[in-house]
Amino acid sequence: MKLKDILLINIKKLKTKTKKALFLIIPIFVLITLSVILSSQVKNIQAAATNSVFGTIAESYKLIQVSTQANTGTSSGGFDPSQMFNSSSSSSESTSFSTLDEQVVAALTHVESVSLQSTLPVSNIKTTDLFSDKTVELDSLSTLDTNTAALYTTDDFTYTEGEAIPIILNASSLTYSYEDWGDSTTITMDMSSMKRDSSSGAPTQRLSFLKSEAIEYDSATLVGTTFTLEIGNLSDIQDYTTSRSSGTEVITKLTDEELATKVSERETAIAEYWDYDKISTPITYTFVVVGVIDDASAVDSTAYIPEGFADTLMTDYIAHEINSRNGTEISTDVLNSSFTGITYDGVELTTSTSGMMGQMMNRMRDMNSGTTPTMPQSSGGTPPEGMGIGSFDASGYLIPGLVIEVDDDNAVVGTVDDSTIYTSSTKYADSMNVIIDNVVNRDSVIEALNTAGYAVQGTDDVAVFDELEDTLNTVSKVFMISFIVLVTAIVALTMSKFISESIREIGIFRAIGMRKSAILAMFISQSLLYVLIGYVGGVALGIGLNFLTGHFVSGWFDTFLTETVAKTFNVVNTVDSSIFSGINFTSIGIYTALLIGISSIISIITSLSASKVSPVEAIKNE
Amino acid sequence: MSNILEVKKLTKKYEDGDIEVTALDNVSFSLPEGFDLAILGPSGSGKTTLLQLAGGLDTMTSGDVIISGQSIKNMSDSEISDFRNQTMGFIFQMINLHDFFTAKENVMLPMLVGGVNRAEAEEKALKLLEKVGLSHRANHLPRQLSGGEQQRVAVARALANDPKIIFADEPTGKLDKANSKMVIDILENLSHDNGMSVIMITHDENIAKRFSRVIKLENGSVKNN
Repeated sequence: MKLKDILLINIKKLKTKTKKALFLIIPIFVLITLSVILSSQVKNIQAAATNSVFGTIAESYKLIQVSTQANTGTSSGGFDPSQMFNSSSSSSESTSFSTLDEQVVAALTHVESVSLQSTLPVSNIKTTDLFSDKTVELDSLSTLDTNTAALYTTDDFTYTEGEAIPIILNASSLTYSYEDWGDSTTITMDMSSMKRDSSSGAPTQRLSFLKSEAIEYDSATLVGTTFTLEIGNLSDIQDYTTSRSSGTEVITKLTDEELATKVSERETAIAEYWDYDKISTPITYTFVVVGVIDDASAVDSTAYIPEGFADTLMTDYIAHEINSRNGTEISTDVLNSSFTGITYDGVELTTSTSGMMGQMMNRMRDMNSGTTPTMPQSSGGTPPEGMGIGSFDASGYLIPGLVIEVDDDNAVVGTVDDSTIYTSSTKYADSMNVIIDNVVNRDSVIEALNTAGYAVQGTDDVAVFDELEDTLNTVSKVFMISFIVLVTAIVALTMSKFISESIREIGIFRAIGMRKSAILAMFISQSLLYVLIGYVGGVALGIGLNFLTGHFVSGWFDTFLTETVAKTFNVVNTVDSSIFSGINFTSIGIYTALLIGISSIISIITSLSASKVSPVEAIKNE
Repeated sequence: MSNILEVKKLTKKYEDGDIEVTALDNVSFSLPEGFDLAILGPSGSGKTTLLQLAGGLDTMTSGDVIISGQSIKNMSDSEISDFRNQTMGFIFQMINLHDFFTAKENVMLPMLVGGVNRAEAEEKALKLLEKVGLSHRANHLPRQLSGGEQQRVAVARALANDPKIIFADEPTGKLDKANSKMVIDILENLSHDNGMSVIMITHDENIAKRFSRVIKLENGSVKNN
């Protein structure tokens, strides 16, 4: 019998027994429709997620920041007082990285590039015009190479004279600090309770009048904003005094009079050697925000400026101090007792940890050791009021840009009157930015860094995103397994039913002389014909509905981004909704192959039973 | 004169639970070409079994069947299928048309199975339907035909490949007297015109009288010849 005639028999059967045929056609139709939509949308969501979230995260996880302070090597950019206690002992022993470290790390496998990150020895950095009514003080300024900067911004991160200087801000530094004394002027602290609090990480009681709040911002509008940065203000005078007795500490707010006295005392001291108006006026630059770091990968709260701008800034900063002098020579005794600035040991320029953190850390340490801060080399004449914001471990008033040379024994030699000293000195590198080739190698590189003696802690944040992607992959896998099971079951059940209902029909075919092989071919082709009809319809409807589904998935994804992801990560980019109209032809191909493969095998198995039907069945009289 | 059908010591046994049933016991007879045969016998006498074995629809336990000089005993499925298609025609008591085919298509089917092209098969089917008086019903589905009409389509189908032998198992069993007569008349006329032998199971002595040979079966054995 000709195959063509067998196929015509099946078409005839389909036309006259359409309802029966639909038992196979419809389930296949529905399954294929679903598989087209589901596999396409899973791929679309993955693509969208890669574009908007995973991609950015994965990129930023290519950066490992190695810090000279082991504890800051974690991904926590936030303020964690428990770390303060841990770090207090080691902070004074921090050393800088050298080109030797750079070479050692660069030699590790999977490391793509290494750059040293220097924190500039500048003090009192603030802006009054970035946010309309709030002054923001930046903790520090660090240099960043263009390689690493590319993780935070797509803009050009190079310094061009005469143009606004690109800067990458750190969200954790976008805070606003103020004092809140309530109605009283004194606060009594119970020091013993302080230690209990430390476990829960809240030293708020001790410095309860010192408050800060995060400034709300929208990184999308912040990027591109130009603002003026003031560098080298005189520090604010501490407006309170503290006195201690066993177990308690009393903090007393200075009266306006007392404060005015302190300010004028400082002015008198400074005016002896500098033009007070000049030295108290900061140098300013116009910056443009090109990026905001606000994700788990940020390791510290510094703001980043281009490497190429560091020399210019430092030269301006130091020259500003030199040019502000009134010509009176500053003796080493005076340097020892009354003023502090940048220390130059003949090799590199260093400054103490600055900002509120440093001040608090210092106080914690003092408290733990149970001693009052010692003021080395203090002659006792002038009280060290410069001890306030911006200068701990220093004696006297902080003079921005003042470079004091010390010898090997840390004894003061004199001032350095060369404004280009920073350019010729060794840069104090407190961080190394290590960029790895692929985020999957992060753990192994971290292990290698630790083995090499650079303490870096791993992070689980990447794993969180792996889980998210795994979920999507699991959905795909579960659907595919269901698809296989359902196709097998549907074809097997419907074909078995067709055959069992066709026993007499098969008997007649056999009596007429149709061979077993022809019976086999007839039922296999019947099954495949029905499957094919369901398949073609399913692919057509699936592709059609995919556009409609994409519209809804796009809406859902936007909600997911704004309501879920954006709460954790600020790197979220929105995605073009057209991405959700994508059709996953690869998956459709896989499902097609699965469908054809499974239905062929099952058809052959079930049709074998049809071919075994005896022609005697045709003759049975019931 | 050669024989169209030779049945030699034909035996069929089958198991029904633990009991061995002998449906046909050592049956032998022969039918010369051009002769017809009626098989008479009560229910359970082995008539249908004999017909199935003779037509190669079922397998024999022992003995042999020789049709037109060819033993069907050791034929493969393909061989017996092709042989049945070309040499034999079947008419059953239960009217066994395919319900998804029209009258014409049902008649065409044996020809298509035998590899005849569609146009030729269609032409011949229409001629056969004309002979059984159903030209006007060619494109009707079986359910649109009466019982008698359906059985006439079955007769036309049995004749499609000009077989040498037609096996009919009580073909009028479900029909009224008028329709029965019409079917038997057609069968008799067409087979005689074409030199075919008809082997028919019947329990109707009057129909049996019209056949040139008659055998009676009882308990699986031939009673007289």
